[in-house]
Amino acid sequence: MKVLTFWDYAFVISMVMTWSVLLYHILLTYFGYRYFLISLGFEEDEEIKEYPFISVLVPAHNEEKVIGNTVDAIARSYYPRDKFEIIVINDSSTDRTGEVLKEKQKLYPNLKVLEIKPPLGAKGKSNALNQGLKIAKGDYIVVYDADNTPERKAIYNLVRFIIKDDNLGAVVGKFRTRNKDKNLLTRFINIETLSFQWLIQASRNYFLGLTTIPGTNFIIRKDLLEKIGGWNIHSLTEDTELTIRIYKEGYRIKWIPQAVTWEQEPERLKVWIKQRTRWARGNISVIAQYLKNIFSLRSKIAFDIIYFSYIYLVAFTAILISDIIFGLGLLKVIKLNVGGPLFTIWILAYLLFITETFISLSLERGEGNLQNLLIISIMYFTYCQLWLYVVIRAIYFTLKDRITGKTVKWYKTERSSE
Amino acid sequence: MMCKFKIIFIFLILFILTLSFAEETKRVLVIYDSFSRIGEDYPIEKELEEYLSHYGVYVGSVNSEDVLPDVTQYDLVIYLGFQEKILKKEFLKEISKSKKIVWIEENIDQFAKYIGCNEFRDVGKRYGFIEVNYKGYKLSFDPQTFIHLVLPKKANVLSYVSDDLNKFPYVFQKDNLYYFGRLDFRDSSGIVFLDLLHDILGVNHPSFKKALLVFDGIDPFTSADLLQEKLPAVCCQHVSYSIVVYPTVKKDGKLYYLSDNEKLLKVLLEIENSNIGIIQGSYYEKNYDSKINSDLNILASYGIYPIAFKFYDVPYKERYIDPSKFFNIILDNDIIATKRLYTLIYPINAGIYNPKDPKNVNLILRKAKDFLVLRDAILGISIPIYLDKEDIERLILGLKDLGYDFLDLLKEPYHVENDKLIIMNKNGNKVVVSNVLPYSKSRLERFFEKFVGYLRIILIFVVTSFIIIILYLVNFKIRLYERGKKQ
Repeated sequence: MKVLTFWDYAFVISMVMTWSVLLYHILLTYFGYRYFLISLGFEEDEEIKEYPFISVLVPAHNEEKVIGNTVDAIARSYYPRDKFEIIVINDSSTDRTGEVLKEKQKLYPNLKVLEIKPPLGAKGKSNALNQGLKIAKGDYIVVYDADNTPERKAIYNLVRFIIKDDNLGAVVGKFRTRNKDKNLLTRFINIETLSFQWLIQASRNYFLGLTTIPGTNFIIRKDLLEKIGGWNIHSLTEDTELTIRIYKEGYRIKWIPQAVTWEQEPERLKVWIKQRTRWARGNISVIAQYLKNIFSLRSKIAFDIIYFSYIYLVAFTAILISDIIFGLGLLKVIKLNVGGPLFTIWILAYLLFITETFISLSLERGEGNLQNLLIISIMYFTYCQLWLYVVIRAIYFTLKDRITGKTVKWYKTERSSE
Repeated sequence: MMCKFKIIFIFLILFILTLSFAEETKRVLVIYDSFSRIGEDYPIEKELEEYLSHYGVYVGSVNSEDVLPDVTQYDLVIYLGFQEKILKKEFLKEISKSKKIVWIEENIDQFAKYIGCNEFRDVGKRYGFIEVNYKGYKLSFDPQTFIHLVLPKKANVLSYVSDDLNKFPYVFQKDNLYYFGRLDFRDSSGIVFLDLLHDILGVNHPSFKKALLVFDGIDPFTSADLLQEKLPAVCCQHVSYSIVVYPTVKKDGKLYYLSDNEKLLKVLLEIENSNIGIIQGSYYEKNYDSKINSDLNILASYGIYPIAFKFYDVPYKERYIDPSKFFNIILDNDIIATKRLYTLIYPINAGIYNPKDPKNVNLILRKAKDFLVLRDAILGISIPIYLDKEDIERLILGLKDLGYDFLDLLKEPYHVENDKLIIMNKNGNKVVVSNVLPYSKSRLERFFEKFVGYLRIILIFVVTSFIIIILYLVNFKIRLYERGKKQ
């Protein structure tokens, strides 16, 4: 009689695991779209009656190529000049960052430059932000990465949402890819960032009331930040870690598509792999840290932690197994005995990926076009598969660090010339 | 005491009477120079030994260089003269004592000289003959094939060969000597030989003309639609046929089952239930008997009960041994039906249809015409399932025109048995006694099928709704960022 092999069981298990995630993502797509419809109703012209004083923190380490534009963009924000300060934390830069900032200080009186050097400085983004927080005078803290170009109303929109609701610990805006037309990689990243924000951020905001702080373009209450001890300098993904602590305090975080910043994304694969590996390592560490105390967390954030741990530890493994089985099948090394309309499922899965992603693009001006449709169809076989490599690499480094007891160091993404 | 003696006496008389009236098994001695012709590897001698089982005779064989047994103990001696050589005097002396002798091809002149007969003129090998004339039939013959011509002065010529103009003796009889200018089971000479052997041996088989149609090559990769499309062509002609099913196929090192092709399995079950004989085929592999047994159980687990076995590309000669452990009817590429102990071997002798050759149906029909001369011919035709429907019809009509009946294997005395299963013909009815567990999918397979089935429905719905959303977004130009920009 027909004998089922190890590969049959492995295939069925990997299929079920993968599809459990993908089915959840189908729901997230619907929720993301629903949130989009709701967000259309957000009052656009609502005026702030009483502008609070805010501090905009910009950590910078060797950012001479981009920091000037970033300061210009923030300084020109649609927000009363006397109601905000820009604090650039020049963290041990060895390039011309300090000189550029000095020039800008002549133009913008509300620009403060905090120079930090070792032993105080050079300890990563979290440390720089914590140093900036110490001198910040605002009731709210806005954070931008040094390569960002926020739109004029970005800060205004962040502020108007947070002051309306005392339960909001933070409000997160949308980030776009400034250099999306540079090459195929940046086009992929542009699609990925939009998909992430509409299908993960917006949908979780709608469904669970959860949003993850992305590390830039967000506002947070200063008192809350001080209460929870600022940023965690030991975390590679300080933003994710901060998110969980905010939720633990009982606050919510809202994602709003009206507050937009444009940021520079990696233009070279090597840089991309390094950056994404850091993200994946950071997220795995956060998962490992909070998974142990999962029952002490609020149910929604616990659900989110489980979801992310499932993504990183189970779904990626399942995809890897099914990829191996697919490869061995193509090489005619193995034959599966379990069957069904697998080709149809594969085609539908491919269409699902394309339609899901294209929905998120269609919500943005100029993105729902044929060129992007073509790029999405290529992305499935290329960019998405690269993520497998990144996660495997991240797991490898995490395990290696655990075994050797090595402390993880935050490292900045390499910038390209404008 | 007297009573006991009487009973023993009656039994003794009955025993003697039975022995006296019982037909004695005829004995045939095959003497060969070599198993095959020089430069060929087709083992004519071995084939001959097998075909002799058709006549129910005892067969002995010996090399012409070895010491001959007492030939007077044999009813017939067949000498296969495949090599031109000088025969020893002792050999000629011994062989001349034969009751009846069939001489094939070479060296007849030496034998004639030894027995003092000067009536033969050995012409040698000649080519260019286009047909064999036998009993009023004209059998096709390849002009590039030789005939060893011997011209007798005075003899009973039983068969001629002819070119365009003249005819020459091919088989003749002179007293107890039968001479054949050629013996090869791959051409018409074999058919003539096998028919004449009935007369030479004095075997009176009933005369019939039966065609055995088998649709071959049905395996897990066969399209059920193709099978369903082809079978009506045969059914419409109201003729009996069988199909050969290979329950497992190894491809690229992996084993495929009929159950992998559910639609085909369903069609095969319908065929099984509609009184069509199913023949088991098993591709050759090591431990062939285990493979045949396993395939038999697999078919039985599906509810398909084969009644015969057909070989496919088995590399060794003693190939009957493995299937005969389970089947008493086996189909093989012989030209005449034979019997090995309890195993009946039915011939597939009209060749296998080659769809690349457009004249192939004609070729099969020509062979069928040649086989008409064989008094108890079973014409076995293996038809690949991909043969055109029109060709199938043409073939059947052609066979009907030639006067062939169609053999129904279900009416044959089939018996299939292994440790879990018996399939037999009992008074014309198919009786199956089976302890083979019916095929059922494992829990994992059932779960996965349901999972994939539901998933497909969900995905179709989801993808459709996503496409609708995209169309809505594209058509109505509702773009959040665009709104933001207007400010």
